[in-house]
Amino acid sequence: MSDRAVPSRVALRQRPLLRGLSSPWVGLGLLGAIVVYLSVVSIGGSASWDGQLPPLQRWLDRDEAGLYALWPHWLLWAALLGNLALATVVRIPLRASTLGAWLAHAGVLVLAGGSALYVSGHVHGDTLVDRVGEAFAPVGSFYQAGPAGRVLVVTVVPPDTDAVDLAEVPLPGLPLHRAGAGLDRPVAAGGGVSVRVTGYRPVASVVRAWRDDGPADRPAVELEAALGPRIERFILPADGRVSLLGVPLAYRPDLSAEGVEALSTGEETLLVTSSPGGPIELHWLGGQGPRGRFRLLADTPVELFRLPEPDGGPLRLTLRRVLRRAHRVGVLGEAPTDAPPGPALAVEVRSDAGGAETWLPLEPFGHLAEPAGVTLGDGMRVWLAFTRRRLALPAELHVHRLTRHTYPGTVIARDYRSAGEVVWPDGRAEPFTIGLNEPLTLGDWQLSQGRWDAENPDDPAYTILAVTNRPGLGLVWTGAGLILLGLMWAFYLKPRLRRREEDQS
Amino acid sequence: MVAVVVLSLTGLAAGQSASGGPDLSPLGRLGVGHGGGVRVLDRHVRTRLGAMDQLAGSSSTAAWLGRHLGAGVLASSVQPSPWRARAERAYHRLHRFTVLWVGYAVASALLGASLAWPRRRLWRRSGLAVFAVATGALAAGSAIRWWLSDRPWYLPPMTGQFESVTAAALLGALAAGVLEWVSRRGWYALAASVFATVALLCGFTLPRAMGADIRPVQGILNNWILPLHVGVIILGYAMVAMGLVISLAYLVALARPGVRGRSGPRASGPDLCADRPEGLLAGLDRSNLVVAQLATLLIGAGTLLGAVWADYSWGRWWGFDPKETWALITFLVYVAIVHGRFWVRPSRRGLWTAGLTVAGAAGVLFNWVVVKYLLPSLHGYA
Ligand code: HEM
Repeated sequence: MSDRAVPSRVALRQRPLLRGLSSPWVGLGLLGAIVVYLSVVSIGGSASWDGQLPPLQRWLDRDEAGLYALWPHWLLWAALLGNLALATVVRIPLRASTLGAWLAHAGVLVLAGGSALYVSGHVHGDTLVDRVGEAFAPVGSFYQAGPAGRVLVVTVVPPDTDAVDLAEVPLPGLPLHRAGAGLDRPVAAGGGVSVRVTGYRPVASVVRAWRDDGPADRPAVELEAALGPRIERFILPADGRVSLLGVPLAYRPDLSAEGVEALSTGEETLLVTSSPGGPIELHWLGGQGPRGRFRLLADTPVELFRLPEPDGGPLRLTLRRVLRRAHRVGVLGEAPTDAPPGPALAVEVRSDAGGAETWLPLEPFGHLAEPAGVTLGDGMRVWLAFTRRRLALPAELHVHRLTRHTYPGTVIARDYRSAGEVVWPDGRAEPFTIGLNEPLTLGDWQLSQGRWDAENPDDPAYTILAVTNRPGLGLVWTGAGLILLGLMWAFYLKPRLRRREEDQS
Repeated sequence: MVAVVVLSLTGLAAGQSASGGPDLSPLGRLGVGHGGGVRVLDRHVRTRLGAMDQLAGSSSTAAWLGRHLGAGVLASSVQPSPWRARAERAYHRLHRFTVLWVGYAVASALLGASLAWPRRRLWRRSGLAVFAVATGALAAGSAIRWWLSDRPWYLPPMTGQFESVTAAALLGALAAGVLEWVSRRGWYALAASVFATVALLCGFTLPRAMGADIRPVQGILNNWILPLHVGVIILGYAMVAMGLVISLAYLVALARPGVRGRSGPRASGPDLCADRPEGLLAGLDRSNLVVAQLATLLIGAGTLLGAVWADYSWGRWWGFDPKETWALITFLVYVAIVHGRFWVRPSRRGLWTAGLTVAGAAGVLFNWVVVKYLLPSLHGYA
């Protein structure tokens, strides 16, 4: 490289604005600012102390990728690219000896264009391939990862109709790491129902609990079953059913004592009945007819039968309370639940016939989630799930085999492979394999091996495949290639070309 | 809608146990947690036999294991051949060839002396000879490790910190040999020797912290692009390290009284190199520029190769992972070095290059040490 500065093509002296905007020192300053930004975000956005969230993620309520998507970062790059483009055009004459700089600078601009396309159109997520019975369930969609993928799925089921109004509501503006009051606006409305996010917790355990303040008249009884030292409490809602030592126990508030007499259950059944203002009764129906009738009273246990040893002891049933407007909602649990804690959303559902609030845990795979249902006073039923956006794949994956390959004589994994068939909408089927470093391309999407069932690595019950698209990739590779070509030209050809140019002049 | 609740006295709610899995996705697809236990006599165990023999200072560890775990435990398929066992013992006895730091230290001293007494060619010649022998031995050590680790032929030992640091020392030394051959200037071999001394000394004193044990390559790394991406980028890092040595020499020389400001091509420099066509500072600066250009090119190309690999392996070509970010930072610092030379006063070019090279080297060191140990990175194995 010759160290001589190249004279400008344009008489920059007369154009101070152009001179300033294309100034190499401005470019170097911007480069320095970008380096500082990247250093600060890389350390403050990923290093954690005492297992805490990295400070920048906490303060700015972003995930690590989100910190690089902040406007100051893009502004710095945009300014640098503008400066670079101007400097190239007005300060670097296009000659053989300067072609390296032109190539490299053009490469930076092309790469930046590709990156912009990538950032604006990139979607990534994952899909679960899980065993159902003997085979793996076919997969035709995936769930979008990241904060932008979070959605609320609202399904409104009006009374007396089969029409279902289903909406996948995006949640822009929802906090990520901060607990908050959620979004201060209705996020969905349809069928006379409005849904509003009323709270958010980044880490919470949601448990489903029965409460007596539901929007609809729906009686329920809370019972306590005791067998020796074992005691279980449970809620039995109207038309609900549990199994008590193999005997079905149901609650039918609408049945009168006469109605019970007329019942022919064909099997041993326990039935709780009630009438408004009347007693709460427990009917024990044998295969051939009634075997016993008890009045259930709070704090006075009814002894049903004694079991022979070793389980031994009497089975006692006690009424604990009666709920008039029972509904089962998600509440924030104090104690840890079976599911690991994760983000949770509080949602209020309201119509003219009242409303209810429930907490929903984030269900990464919505189709496996148990949706929370809210019944409004008019019989309208609303099902809710806090999950991730589901996107269709252009074809269906039928996974037949999941195999882990290990190094000979070891349990150290060399590869994880998912094999099966891709079935296209027109019925065509093609074999496929996805392994480490061996992705599968399906239209715009690329699928690669993600998680693997760690508990049964050799006979996995599931695997998770990562799914991404890569818009702008061609521009990225072209730009990067131009930069490298330009660097080589400038470093190793330019000195010779420069000498030749000087000799000629 | 009928709510059906199935309950038994032994469990009201059948909780679904959330089974985690090894995360092979971009969010941690490192495949960790699959290490073999003591009962699994794997190749990993086998490759450590030599080390254990060394610790026990006795006869073959295979025999010891056989005695303690019962005959036939070591299947013939995993029994090392006598040749291999011997090579492995020798490899470990030589501290995985990191003892070569002594050879490189001697080469550094001799080449350093040749700077002080440039007219006596003996210093330089003997320095280059020691340098060449040490580099040959280091290459042999690397080849033995490659053979012992049973990797596919296309995966040289470049994974993990120990291997990448020693490979950087080796690649730097080989590149310095080529540069010496082409330019016959003397700064490259000295810079590579000093770097190799420090790198191998780290491997010699901190083998455990640097993960010096021989291990099979993790599944995700088992790919032909690994040697290209890692090889190119660590050769780039070796150039940065050599640039650091040259830059420090430049800054020390510049600090000598009466030298300041005489760094342009026409500066005469101190008498140290009176027999050379250019002064000491100009010579150092010229070498620094060659190394800086190579570093720019190699870090750029290595990062691009990494992006190509990340695209088809992880499904994203760039993700601002700390390792990627710090490679970009280093590249941008080098872009600044190359550009600043156009615009600073000619007498300041050397200082600019040397000063920013120190900053670039800090970036590489950060990537190698801080990112490795303190920041969560997908490149946890690097
Ligand atoms: C960000 C990445 C950039 C890359 C990869 C890049 C690459 C290059 C290369 C390879 C050269 C030729 C160097 C040589 O001849 O030794 C060059 C020269 C040059 N660059 Fe850049 N550049 C970048 C940013 C900038 C910026 C921000 C400016 C802003 C002003 C700029 C202005 C110039 C100028 C004026 C030259 C001189 C060309 C000559 O005299 O031959 N560059 N650049």
